[in-house]
Amino acid sequence: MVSKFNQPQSIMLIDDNKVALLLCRKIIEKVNIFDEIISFQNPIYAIRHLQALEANKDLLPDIILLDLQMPEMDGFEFLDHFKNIQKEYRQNSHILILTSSIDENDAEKIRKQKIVHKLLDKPLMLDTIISIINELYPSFEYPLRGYKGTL
Amino acid sequence: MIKMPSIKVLYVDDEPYNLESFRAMFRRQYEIFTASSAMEAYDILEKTEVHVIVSDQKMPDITGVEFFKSLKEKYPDPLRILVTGFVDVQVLADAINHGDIYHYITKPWNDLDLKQSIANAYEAYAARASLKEKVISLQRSNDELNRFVYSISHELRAPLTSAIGIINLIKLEDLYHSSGSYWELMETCIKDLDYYINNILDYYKNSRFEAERENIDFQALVDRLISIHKKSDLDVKFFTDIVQENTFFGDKFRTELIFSNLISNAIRYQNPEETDKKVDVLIRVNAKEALINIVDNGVGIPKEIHDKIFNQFFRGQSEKGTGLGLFILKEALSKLNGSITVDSLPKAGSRFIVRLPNNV
Repeated sequence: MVSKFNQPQSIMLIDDNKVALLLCRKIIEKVNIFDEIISFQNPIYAIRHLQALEANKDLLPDIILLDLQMPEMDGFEFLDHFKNIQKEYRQNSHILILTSSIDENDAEKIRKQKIVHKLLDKPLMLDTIISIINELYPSFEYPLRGYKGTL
Repeated sequence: MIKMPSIKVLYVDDEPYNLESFRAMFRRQYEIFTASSAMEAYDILEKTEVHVIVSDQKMPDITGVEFFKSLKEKYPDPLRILVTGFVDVQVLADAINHGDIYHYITKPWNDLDLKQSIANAYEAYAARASLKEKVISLQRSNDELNRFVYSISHELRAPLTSAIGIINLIKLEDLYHSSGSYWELMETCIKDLDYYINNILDYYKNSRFEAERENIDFQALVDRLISIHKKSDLDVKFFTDIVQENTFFGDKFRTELIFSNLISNAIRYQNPEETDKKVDVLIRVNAKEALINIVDNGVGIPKEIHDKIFNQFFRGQSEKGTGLGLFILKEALSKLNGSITVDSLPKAGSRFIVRLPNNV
């Protein structure tokens, strides 16, 4: 699915591990195209945030990077809650799962989730996220494409 | 004297006199319950966990064999002894063959025979119960082990992937050579640890799970694995040449494990002085088999040790690796009925040739 908006502007990062979250943010900052990077250590707050956006008829983040194993609410539960958001609000959000677990059962479960765009393994690499953004927003260029080095 | 656990015996007979004499006979040894009809017996079974049931065959509403049959579903555990005055061999043979009764005693019974029969029945009951308990406890420890491995794979790898991520950022920010070779050494340690953890998990899974039959798309599988492994050395170039003429059916997990090991080895044993580090993955799939060549231009393997590299804990001189990779690979191959050969020259590179049968 290709977004009708041709430029991604906001991204949401969800990971219960502080270090992993910070690292992810650093990489996203280096992509250098997002106006807004929101990060959550607790997926419950992330869901509340998204629900609040829906209630105010605001745009949801263009991309959501989601960890799988988290206490209180894991990635799968997050997806269940996410699906309760009205389709017209959530359909432009692309979900990427980021995990350190190589568990085949989890991978299988993720493949069955149509709303997940891709399953990525940690750590998030700059090249990986760049090529995914290119794929999701084919008409958008900035420097992106093969972009290397600092801007 | 140690008090024995009380053995509960239910006796079913429509003759009150028989019930009385049975009780008189065994009350000292067992806890006796009596019922003059099947209905009464069901009531008792509902409330009490009985170990042995003795029933008369000839009763007005239901025969002993029928009564026992009716219990099998709901009360499979108690051992069933039939007491019968006449012998309808066919009925008896059927009942025994279907496992409806454990033993039968002719009427009028011989006290000693019946006593022995009940004792044997209880022994069998106790043996079954203890076996059942063991199976449950084994099941429990299996589940625990699975959960343990799952949490290891996550809890141990999560901080490791973060550490790899940090090194990755250090590289992106051009700080990698800012402290001599310290970052490089740190990276090596982290990657060794990561590799070791993955090896252990693979070994565990390979030894535990049965091979499955799944549709395998080699191009997709290889592309995915290369994208994972090339992170560990971005200098290595990969070339794939995959022709899959037929659908291939095999065990995905083990096939991945085999490729993972060969690809990560091809990266690991690169020659540091080589400027054009490369790995070729050539695959031909037909209805019979998948023929896989993985070729690198790395350090190579001396002829003398070609046979040894598949042994557990054998490591090449380079002191890299856990000595488990190729061993696990060979174990996985043997579960898939595949084969592997190696062709290698020191300083020139290695070629691993794997054949996997197509289980169409």
